[in-house]
Amino acid sequence: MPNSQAICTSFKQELLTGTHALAADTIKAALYLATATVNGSTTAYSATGEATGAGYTAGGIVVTTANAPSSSGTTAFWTPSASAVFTTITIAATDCVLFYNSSKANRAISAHTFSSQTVTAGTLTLTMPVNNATTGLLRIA
Amino acid sequence: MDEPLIFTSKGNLPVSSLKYRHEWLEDEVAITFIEEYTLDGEIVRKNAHARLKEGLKAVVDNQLFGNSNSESPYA
Repeated sequence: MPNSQAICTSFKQELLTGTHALAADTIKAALYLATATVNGSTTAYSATGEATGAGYTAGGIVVTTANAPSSSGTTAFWTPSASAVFTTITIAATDCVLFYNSSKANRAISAHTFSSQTVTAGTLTLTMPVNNATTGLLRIA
Repeated sequence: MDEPLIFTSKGNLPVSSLKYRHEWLEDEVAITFIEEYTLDGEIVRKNAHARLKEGLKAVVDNQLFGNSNSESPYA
């Protein structure tokens, strides 16, 4: 089964238990090969199916989280405050990024897919959507 | 003047020795800009920059006590 994007179900549960503090915890982004199976059932970061190659470190990179969770109308939202930039890497076909909470036992937050990309001795940049109630990376209405 | 170099899978090479191409892709998820440098037909550097259009949304389903209708009474 290919990767599919979703807010992880375990994350939704953990919202109810107050597990995550997105503006304070260390949030990381890990890349997954197009052959991996990352989806809403993913509960934590795993190296299985993760991209590998020169310059890429298992576990991915720390994302910048200067944006505090916010709300507008009836929708709460949160988006990392900077692009996720993987520099000088060589990786095979990759189509999914998993955001997870490195401060909380690597618990999964959400999986996001994009058109499959290979990178050779170069940079993969994932620019975040606008942080608002309409397009924010994570929205709860 | 020194010739500009670029890092590739074969180390630093003069930019002028490489063939460059780029393309834009757009789908429902992202707008992606791809840059490719080749040397004698071999890709020696490839970058991809994707701008995610929209994140993901979860909807909280409210339920009133005694309400047998599963449809949310709130927006």
